Amino acid sequence: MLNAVKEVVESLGIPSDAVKTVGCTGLCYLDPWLELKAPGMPAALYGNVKPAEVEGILKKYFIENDVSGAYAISERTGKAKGEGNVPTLSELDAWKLQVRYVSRNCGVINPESIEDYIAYGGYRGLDRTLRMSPEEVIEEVKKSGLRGRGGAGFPTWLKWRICRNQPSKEKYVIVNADEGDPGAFMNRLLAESDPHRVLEGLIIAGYAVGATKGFIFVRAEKPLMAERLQKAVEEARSHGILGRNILGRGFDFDVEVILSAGAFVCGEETALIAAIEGRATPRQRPPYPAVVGLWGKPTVINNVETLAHVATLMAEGWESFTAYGTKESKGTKMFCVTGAVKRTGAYEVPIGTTLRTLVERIAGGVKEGRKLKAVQIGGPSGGCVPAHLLDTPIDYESLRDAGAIMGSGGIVVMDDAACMVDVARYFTSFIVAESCGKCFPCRIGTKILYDTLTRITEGKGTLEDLEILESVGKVVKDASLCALGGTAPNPVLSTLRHFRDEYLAHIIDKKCPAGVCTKLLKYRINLDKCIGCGTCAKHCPVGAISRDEKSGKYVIDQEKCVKCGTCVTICPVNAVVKEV
Amino acid sequence: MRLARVEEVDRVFGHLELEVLKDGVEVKAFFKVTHGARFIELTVNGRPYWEVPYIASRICGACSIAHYVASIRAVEHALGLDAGEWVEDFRDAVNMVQIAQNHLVHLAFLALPDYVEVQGLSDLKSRAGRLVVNSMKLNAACLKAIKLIAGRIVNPNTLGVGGLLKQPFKGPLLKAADYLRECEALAREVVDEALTLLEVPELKDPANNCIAVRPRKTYLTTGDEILTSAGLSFKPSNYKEHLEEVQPEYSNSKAVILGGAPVHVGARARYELLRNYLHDLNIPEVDLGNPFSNLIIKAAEIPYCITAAREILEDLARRTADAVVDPPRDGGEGEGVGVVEAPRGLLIHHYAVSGKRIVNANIITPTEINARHIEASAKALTVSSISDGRPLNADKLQRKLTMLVRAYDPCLPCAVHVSVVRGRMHA
Amino acid sequence: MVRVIVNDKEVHVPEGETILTALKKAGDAVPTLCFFRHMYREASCRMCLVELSNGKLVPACAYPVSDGLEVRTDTPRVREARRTVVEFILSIHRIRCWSCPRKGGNCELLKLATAYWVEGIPVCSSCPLYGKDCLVVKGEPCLGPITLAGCGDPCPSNGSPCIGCRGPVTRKDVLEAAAQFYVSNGVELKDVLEVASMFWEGLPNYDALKASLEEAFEKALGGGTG
Repeated sequence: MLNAVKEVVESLGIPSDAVKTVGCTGLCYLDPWLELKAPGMPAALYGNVKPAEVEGILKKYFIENDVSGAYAISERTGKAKGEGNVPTLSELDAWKLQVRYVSRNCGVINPESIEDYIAYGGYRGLDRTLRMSPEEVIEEVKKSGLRGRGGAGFPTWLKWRICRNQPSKEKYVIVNADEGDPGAFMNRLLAESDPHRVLEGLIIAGYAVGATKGFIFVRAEKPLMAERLQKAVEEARSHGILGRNILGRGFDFDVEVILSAGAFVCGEETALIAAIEGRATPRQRPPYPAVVGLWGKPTVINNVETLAHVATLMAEGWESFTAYGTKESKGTKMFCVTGAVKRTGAYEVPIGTTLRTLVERIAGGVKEGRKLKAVQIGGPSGGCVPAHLLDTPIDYESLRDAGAIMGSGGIVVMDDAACMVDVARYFTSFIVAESCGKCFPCRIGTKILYDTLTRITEGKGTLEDLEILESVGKVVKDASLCALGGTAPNPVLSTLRHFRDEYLAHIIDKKCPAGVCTKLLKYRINLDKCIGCGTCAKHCPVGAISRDEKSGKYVIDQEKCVKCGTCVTICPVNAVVKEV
Repeated sequence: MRLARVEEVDRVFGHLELEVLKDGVEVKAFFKVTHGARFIELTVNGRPYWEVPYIASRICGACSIAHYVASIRAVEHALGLDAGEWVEDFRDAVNMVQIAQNHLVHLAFLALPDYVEVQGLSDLKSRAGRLVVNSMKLNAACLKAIKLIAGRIVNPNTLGVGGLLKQPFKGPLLKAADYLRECEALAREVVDEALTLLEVPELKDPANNCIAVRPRKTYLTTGDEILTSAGLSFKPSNYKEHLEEVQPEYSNSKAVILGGAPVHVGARARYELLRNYLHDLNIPEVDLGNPFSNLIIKAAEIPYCITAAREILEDLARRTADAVVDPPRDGGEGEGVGVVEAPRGLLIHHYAVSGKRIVNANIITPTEINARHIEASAKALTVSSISDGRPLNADKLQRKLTMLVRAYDPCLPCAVHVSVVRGRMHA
Repeated sequence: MVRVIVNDKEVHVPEGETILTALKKAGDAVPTLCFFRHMYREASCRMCLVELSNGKLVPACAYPVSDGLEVRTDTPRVREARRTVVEFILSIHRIRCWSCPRKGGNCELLKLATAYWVEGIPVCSSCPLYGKDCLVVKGEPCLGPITLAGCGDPCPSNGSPCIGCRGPVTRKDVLEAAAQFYVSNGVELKDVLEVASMFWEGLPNYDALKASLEEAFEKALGGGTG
């Protein structure tokens, strides 16, 4: 689409430097999108633009000065109301219910330009920081009440203070940009769209704890993220924001970007440290990394989003942060809403916003004709919150009580087409593959959970299997070495808690109510539609389809059927149906 | 009219109900074994003959050695095998240690509480603490000895049909003898103290008929002849001509009569019939016509058995062990009866072998033999304590009746080895 | 010195030590598998878990002591965790006790399984007969390889083949390996079944067990891979 834009721009005689590539706004359902601004015209946002449509859109806007057909009018126009039938962004639920504290620049600035960042107010936080003492910086962060955004929710100021108090001369700060939860991309969005904000937060953290070196640990599986962070580091260095005597204030600090190999366990901080040292397996804590970390030195590891908040609140003051959130957890958080919703995207909302607001109002709820069933929060380490608990506020404590965790912010919405047993099985399979293998409970226990779940989805489950899931799940949770194992049983345990009926249906009735588990489905030929061509019988790998002599139509023998689905795809008249 | 009923007699092995009724003018006592039937006689049918001892020993955990030895001897007789004198002496030693140990447990923990007027073991400890502790020590020593020579505390595994299952070594024999030697004095002490406490009630045995195995050597060694108090003696293989088995419909156990009358077995019977084979049993004055005095004889048998077993073991260690080790399993055709004096009395095992398999089995345990006799004694006891057709003191009568049962030391799991198919006896 | 309360008993240990040191001082041992003094302290086996007063389970071998730390070694949760870990280990363990050099009293896994009531290890693991002395090697249908350990092996120790008192091992892979062992020593299925039927015929899973044994012997005789 970008090429199409460039071509059209050239043909219209618009200077080519008017085309600015920016990062993602988080309104992913609009991708790829285009924003156009002409003098005197309101800035207009166009979504889901195909290359062929570009010419028409640009002409309409620039030549005819007509904004109709745009998705929305960007709020930077300062207009309160839309024009015609084009609303302003701030009139749309998807936008107005957000508080874009750290994501303000996403989709606005060019992420590969430090000048752009600075022009939009970047590095003011660092400037202000370097005028304070490290203790004062920690105090400011303490007043803000910022809690780690990686999932654990540990008070950031406390981690810094512990590290600061260690006597060692050598200390490190690390950004955890590993973001391993499948489907989660809040950190990637921030790092790709506003990398300098993250870097700024890292430098501030380094100053506060007294480190001279920082690392950005980013997975190679997200190459654009790694690239942009690397570029940001280089630009910062060339602008005197990294290296010796930063901003002339006598603070020496440099940053190295390290690519990880993509193991999920690296999201766990001791494993991350071990990965930098050479081999990613977690360690028993205590001692905590803030005391004994990378190469034995005190190390602070913060999440991408946490550091983005640090940079922002240091620039604007801690009160700007505490203006939002709940009593126990101040500020905003980014959440990725994916799955069976109308508007998938990354959204930043104050902590304490209810799931309902996020899922139904901002993300538009489930598609027409479907019912919301559950919301999975926290990725493979998290749990499923059933629909009837949708008014749960999104904060650490309320989610924990509902059987889920905040996690890093990945939210997957499931409608009635999802089978909760299959969901549990999917997440558990992920954990099985990602288990580092060091301790028995996680290495073996998760496999047992997975095998049991698989048996249940294949119709071979027994009631005893439910006991196995619960007792093995409990021990894996209690006895694992690190949080990967400790949270691994969450998908199973939370679905067992809230969706036990579905498990029982699979076990006792040997049915999958959502129609997902293929081994439990019955394939049936609709005799009204069947034309008797016999194609299905010819292709059936186990010879389960035979011709009924009387009617001339075909019938599937349920005993022989292995549910491969070949007949469904091959039938020329779509006469084969899947029945629950 | 019911005169007495104890639904669940406590402090006996297994489940037993005792009832005494007045039917018209007659008083009748009922020894109702409520322990579930166990069908051992059916189980062994069809199995290879060398497995019989394994199964038989599991009839009872307390007297497994007696069943083990009796069944081995029976099968040997059926096949015409002779294990040799060394092995027979070895079997005697093993059996005697178990008799001592069995008597000890019964006396100290099951019977004694009655005589110090407590109900259970924890109370007993406070009234006769030293006796309890010493009994436990003695028990432990006996069990250690059993483990060494029988291979295991219950369900022995060193003896087989026709010989031994493993090569005997002097070491274990002498070590077992040492264990016994070390506790001989203790045994004396325990028994002396127990005897001071055992003031048994008086009762006249209504039918002093008894039988026991004539030992081939000294008291309590095994043999192949059965003596009766009537002066008769018969070969075990002819037991059916003298002992009649009946099946009362109110009990899961068979009952036995000798010449149509109740008969008793056990320590009292042995002492009555075999005291000439004793060199020293050291019994205080005792009225052998009193069923309760069974307890006193049992007590006296404890130190006797320990010493006798020790002597046999030491002797065995001195001799060459001319025994077949790991006997061949050739099988044969025949029928045989093996008898042994189990702790509770005469025990009979009877098997028919064809080829390598058992084709028929019959077992008579001492408790079965005593069943009718217990009823007769219970009747006598009841009669002597009623006046005008009613018990003078119902509770006291009931208590005394249970004490009487305990004096016989019945073992109900042993008694229900039978197979009862619609009331018809299997064998 | 730091004060640690182990199962309501007070002990004092030097600062910097782990809970394990305190436990040893208090005389309350916990099992360890992967701990080896200064050489390996990775806390990966999770057998030495103890319960803190806040309910968390932590490995004693790696968790540092602090003043006033309260520790319990035998709570239901900790016992359940340890028992399940033993089950986990057993589930992936290659059970070939009859030819394992740790048989006859050296098997740590058997000790743990016995202590935590986990069944599945055959009699061979504690039987002292090895190599040429083994009754199966001598061609006897000793049921040791397919009977649950726990009796102390009085029978094989006394030269008498195991007759299966404690019940069968039912894990298919063990039965298959046992069948291989039997076959390679000339012991036939019918003899094994003859002895097994004595005590196992009444078991509810006997038919399934018999079928598994038949399959296993067939595989072993058919020359399948080992």
